[in-house]
Amino acid sequence: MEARLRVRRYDPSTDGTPTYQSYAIEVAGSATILDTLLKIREQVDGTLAFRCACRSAICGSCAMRVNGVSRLACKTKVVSVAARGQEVTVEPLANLPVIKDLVADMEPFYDKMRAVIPWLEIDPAKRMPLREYLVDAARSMKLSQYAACIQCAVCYSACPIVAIDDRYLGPAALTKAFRFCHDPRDDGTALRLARVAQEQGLWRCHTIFSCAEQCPKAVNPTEAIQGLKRIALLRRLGLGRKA
Amino acid sequence: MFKPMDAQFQARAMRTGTAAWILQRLSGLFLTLYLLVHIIVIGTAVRGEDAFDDLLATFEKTPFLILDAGLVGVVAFHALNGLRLILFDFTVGLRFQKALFWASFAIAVAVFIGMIVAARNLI
Repeated sequence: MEARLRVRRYDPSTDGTPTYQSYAIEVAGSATILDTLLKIREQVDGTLAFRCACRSAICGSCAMRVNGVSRLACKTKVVSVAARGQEVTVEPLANLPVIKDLVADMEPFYDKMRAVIPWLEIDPAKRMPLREYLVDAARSMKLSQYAACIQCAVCYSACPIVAIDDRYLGPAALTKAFRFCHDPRDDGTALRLARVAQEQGLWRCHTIFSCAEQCPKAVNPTEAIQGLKRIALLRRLGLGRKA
Repeated sequence: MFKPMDAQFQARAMRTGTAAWILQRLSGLFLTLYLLVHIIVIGTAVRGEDAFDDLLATFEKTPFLILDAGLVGVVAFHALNGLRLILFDFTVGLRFQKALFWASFAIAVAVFIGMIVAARNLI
């Protein structure tokens, strides 16, 4: 099968504006976009830059835009996006600076992840259980959905609000905040809400569901953000449970 | 800090949720503009009975009656999709956002067609 890719090429140190380069290469019928990019780099054009590592949708390195949809290149078969041998447009993640070609600078995204205190915050004065700290099965299942995030920034790239507003924390960071605020072992909700329950945080989300529709791990960040809004509101009204 | 326009208009897939978001804003904008026109039209009443009647006569023509039916359809969509968004703020129906959007859209279209049918003698 011939795969035809139209790849956005850009080297900020030498190029004024991004350009698009077309490649056509013979690949297996089951080839993914990542397989195709790897083959192009090995056989056609060694200067093509992109990130990848695990090739099995676990590491989140190969997130990019395929025909405008943010997705993992390793989880996207060429035939699923180009039914009759059409050309597929491949671009780097949106809403992030480009380092070269398909490699986005993830630093602004990681900065926002760090800002929401993405770890279990335990009150040192609290009496800890003598044995394991049990989390009931239902809560555990709920948390595992949000803990499944691989920080690939697909949601961050898909979000139209991040596109408008640089300072908006974005779906991934807010989901991480909810994941810990919703954890019965955590005591950091007040600390976290002080950073997150603001105009450029929680309340900037307009429930557009772009993140939920494009997340490759079915995390559903919109659901998490709405859950966090609920926690913030109940706390403000003095109705919040001590988590 | 707001980003430059070219960054905002990068190729981005538009799926159901985004379409709903944009339609809600466009319908809201349309209703605001309609309200302005409506106030101006009704305002001609202060210039006397004849001026008012003359202007209203133009709005009894077929294209305007179809637009009127469209207006009711837009109101229906904006209201129903608004309820959808309010439900989300109560963390209700988040898993059914697409179905809820299509339901609001279908009901709005049905309301528009219903208005046309109801007013078919006038049109």
